Amino acid sequence: MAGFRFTKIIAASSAVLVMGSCGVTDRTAEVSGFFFDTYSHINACGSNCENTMKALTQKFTELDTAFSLCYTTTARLLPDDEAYTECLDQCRILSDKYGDDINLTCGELTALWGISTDTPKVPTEKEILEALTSISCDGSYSETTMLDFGAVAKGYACDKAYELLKTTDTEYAAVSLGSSSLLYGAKPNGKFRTGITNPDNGKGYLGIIETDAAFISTSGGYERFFEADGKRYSHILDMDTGYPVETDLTSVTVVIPAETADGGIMSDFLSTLIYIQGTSQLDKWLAYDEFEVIAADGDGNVYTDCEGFTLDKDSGYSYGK
Amino acid sequence: MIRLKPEKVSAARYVAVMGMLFAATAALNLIESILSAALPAGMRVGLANIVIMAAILSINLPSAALLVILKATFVFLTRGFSAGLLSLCGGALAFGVTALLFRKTNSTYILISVLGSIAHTLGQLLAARVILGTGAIFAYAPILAVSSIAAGVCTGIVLKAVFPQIERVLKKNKNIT
Amino acid sequence: MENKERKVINKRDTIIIVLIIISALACLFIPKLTDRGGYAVLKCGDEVAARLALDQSGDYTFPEFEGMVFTVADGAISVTESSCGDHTCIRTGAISRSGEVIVCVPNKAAVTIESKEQSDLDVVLK
Repeated sequence: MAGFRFTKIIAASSAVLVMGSCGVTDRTAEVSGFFFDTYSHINACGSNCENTMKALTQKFTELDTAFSLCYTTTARLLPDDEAYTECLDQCRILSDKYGDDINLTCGELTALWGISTDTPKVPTEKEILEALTSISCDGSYSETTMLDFGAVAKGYACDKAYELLKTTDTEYAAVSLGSSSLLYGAKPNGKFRTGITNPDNGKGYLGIIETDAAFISTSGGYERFFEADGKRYSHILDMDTGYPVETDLTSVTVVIPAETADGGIMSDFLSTLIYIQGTSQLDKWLAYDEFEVIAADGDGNVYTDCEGFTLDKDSGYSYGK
Repeated sequence: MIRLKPEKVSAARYVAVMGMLFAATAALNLIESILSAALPAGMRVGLANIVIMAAILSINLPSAALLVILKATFVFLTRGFSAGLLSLCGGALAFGVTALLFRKTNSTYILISVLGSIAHTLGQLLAARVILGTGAIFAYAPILAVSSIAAGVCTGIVLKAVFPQIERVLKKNKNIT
Repeated sequence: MENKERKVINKRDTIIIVLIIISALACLFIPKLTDRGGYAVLKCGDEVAARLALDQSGDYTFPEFEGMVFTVADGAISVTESSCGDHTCIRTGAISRSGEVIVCVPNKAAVTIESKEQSDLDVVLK
């Protein structure tokens, strides 16, 4: 009967219209968790999302366990895990290319300061000097060498997430691991928008970055630190002195296109490296094409070569240079 | 001048009939409260509307309007001010829509019932909006719309089934209609 | 129209009803397409009485809503106790997406969900 057919057509078209958020295979999923000592959040859109979430969570849990083990086991006694070798290799390559201020064998030194633990303390000169001896620059490990992957763990996790997502049918995903993130795929109605926390008050935004798929990492001394005798000690340590780095930068963010091989660990590594080296080296970093930098200093200046970055008007910062 | 009673009906008879209809409304209302306690988000089936619609059809509009007011008063006395106001607004809007459809169109019983039910829900939402002072409540609109439609279909069927009996009772004296 | 001739239902009216049902159902899907929120906004009438972060679990009471207890758990908020007669608010269950609401008319309470500030951000780097 004509009337009934008409009704069926209306029903079908309404159903299709309603489904349209990310595609006809409308499945989105979200998961939050505590990985690498930070509150993390993933959301994704694509078919079979729930399984993708589970796989990502499992991978992160594995990595978290592997890296945490390093805080209690010396380097020589660690089990064989490709996470260790891959990170160490990548770090070596990056150090050769960009600078050697980051060293993953500083585990003993980090443990001494205990900045991310419940009992941070300022160690004595003697203790520091002793810990510095265990830091190796040539790949050999002493009995007491301990590895600390903190500078690259999250970036590496993002690389693994990228590999995993490539094997799925995910349309787009936003993986946030606190200070490192992966923006994967393409959103149907625009670019990804990432907010950078204001290093001064930790609550508002320094600005927003609009990008296509990318790895974005941030480093700064404002998130993890402890105070003793009125002085603030941040968690990024200087490998030469054994003390927290002295730098005039407060926050550095590095943006790398997602197609770049090992872009995650690279963004994590570079954001820390550039932060350590301070404003005097910024010109060099801003000249690189393969990544973009957004750096804020203690005087309210922001330096950047990132086109997708928009400074937040209420941040109290202004463009320097 | 509103003529409450149809002509040629004694006052006593009229009061008796109205009293009976009011009692039916109250009873249906109580049954409905129990029923909606089992339903999510307090969905209302609108059983009392059957009586209102019957009154529109078999007595006259002013009397039906009076029943709406009496129903709202009953709700006010048993469930409080907010509920009473919701009942009044819902009932009034439903009454207006139903009366219009019955008198001016040749729509079927079920359609009138469904539209009356939707109007009832809409009236309640508007009243709630005024009490709450915020439009947040309209988020309930879609789910309530669906349940109103279902309720309307049911009450429409019941009305048609029950109506002959109502008329027979009211027509002891054939001058009532 | 003579009521004796009025039908219970006919084709034209059935179509009208089906169209109404479809539009109502379509509206039902709208909340599912919006974001999970970061905050629950509790309003008393027009005024915002409280903003609760949905990642801070716990039970909350407020002087504006006497007799009501709001519980935040698993990123969602629900009413677990209320002084109203109906308890419709409790039966609504938990909400977590913008577009969803819990309402208690006698207590003049309306709970809505607001996404985190600048909800259009995919990631916030700390």
